[in-house]
Amino acid sequence: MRYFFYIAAGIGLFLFQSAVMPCFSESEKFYDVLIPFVLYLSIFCPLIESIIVILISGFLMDSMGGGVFGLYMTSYVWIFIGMRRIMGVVHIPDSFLSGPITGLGVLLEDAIVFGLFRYSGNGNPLPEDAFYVLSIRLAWAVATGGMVVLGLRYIHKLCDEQSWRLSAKFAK
Amino acid sequence: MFFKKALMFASLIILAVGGIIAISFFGMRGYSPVGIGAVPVMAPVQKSVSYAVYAIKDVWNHYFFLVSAAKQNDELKKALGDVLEQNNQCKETSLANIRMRYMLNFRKKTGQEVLVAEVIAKDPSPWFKSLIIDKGTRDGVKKGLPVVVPEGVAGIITEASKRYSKVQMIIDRNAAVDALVQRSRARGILKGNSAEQCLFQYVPRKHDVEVGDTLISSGLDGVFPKGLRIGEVSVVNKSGTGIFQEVLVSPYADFEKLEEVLVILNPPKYEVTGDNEEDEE
Repeated sequence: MRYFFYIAAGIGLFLFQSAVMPCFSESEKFYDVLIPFVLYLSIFCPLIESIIVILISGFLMDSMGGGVFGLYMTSYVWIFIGMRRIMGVVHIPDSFLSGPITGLGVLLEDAIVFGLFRYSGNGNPLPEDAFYVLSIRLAWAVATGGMVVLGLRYIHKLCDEQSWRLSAKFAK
Repeated sequence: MFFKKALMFASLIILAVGGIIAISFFGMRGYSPVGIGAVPVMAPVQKSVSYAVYAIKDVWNHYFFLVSAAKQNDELKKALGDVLEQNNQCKETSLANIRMRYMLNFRKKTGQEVLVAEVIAKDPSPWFKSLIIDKGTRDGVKKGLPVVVPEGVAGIITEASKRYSKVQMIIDRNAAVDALVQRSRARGILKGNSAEQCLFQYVPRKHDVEVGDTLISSGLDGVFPKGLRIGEVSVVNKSGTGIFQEVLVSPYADFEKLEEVLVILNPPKYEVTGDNEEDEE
């Protein structure tokens, strides 16, 4: 069930932002909803499993996205490492700080993208509306990132409960 | 004895006649001293009973009867939903029909082999402008083919799998199209900038470019056929100090609303002449 949760959550969020969100106008200014997923994995899940899931999620995004291959994988891994480091220093109550930390994740991902633009040598280092778009993405991330993390935690608990019930049933 | 009986009979007749006359007399006036005495007693009861009956009827009509009304309402809502869905499907079919006709006309006009593909996903990032279409190598799509819409140039195939392909739109920062101003034939490179506008770069200041000019593909990039519409010049700035003027172009294609695109399967290619072949050798 735990692996089912990883697969369902990763693919579900990926499909949501690549196939559902584009149906709404201005949806591109919404943040990458896989970032709260990465944060959730870094807070609540075992290290090896988290890294595998993060790499697969990054691979999906890199395959379907228009950026350089490896961009999302790199971003997610750095967000994961950053989150682990923060957790080593500060105890994070997941329901309270996960919104601002999602914002930090969005900031880190966009910093990597801007760095890529800067060193790709195609003229303008930043898009004209970069700061405007970034501020909107940050606002969305801070406002809703915590809810996504909480939602993931709730679904994960449901999956675990279902798993226990099934195992108890089979044990009888 | 006979007299007594006759008297009784006569008395009965007189009473009967008198009674009839009295009833007739009082009945004509509508006055009944006996009935009026019952009204004040019975009327409140009648009133109470009437109210009770009306109340029961009201309860029946507005509550118990509403159960069936609610069922009927549910059925009607469902029917309405079905009709709305059918209506929506008809509208969608009609709109798709219009778009397909438009594309068919475009195909006839260009005279090139084009493939209609449906957009199935878009890049979620605001920094990259690409989309996924539902045609791949098994349909003849390959990397580097131009993608257009009837309004103008849309992008280029950057990756192709068996059934799906990735298209980089011309508004992507990494995309570039060799373009010409249709009126003055001033040449430059169109580069992606944002969803609304592209940059028309490397156009010398002395070249004639005006707001409202149409940009077309020059064909010199080896990707897009010559003469495809790209966009309209929206801003021209010659006040800078550089040797090039700054030109902004609004693409004709509405990239926010792309649903179907056309992949040109056989773009014209430049033939290598014999001299060049010898040079290459």
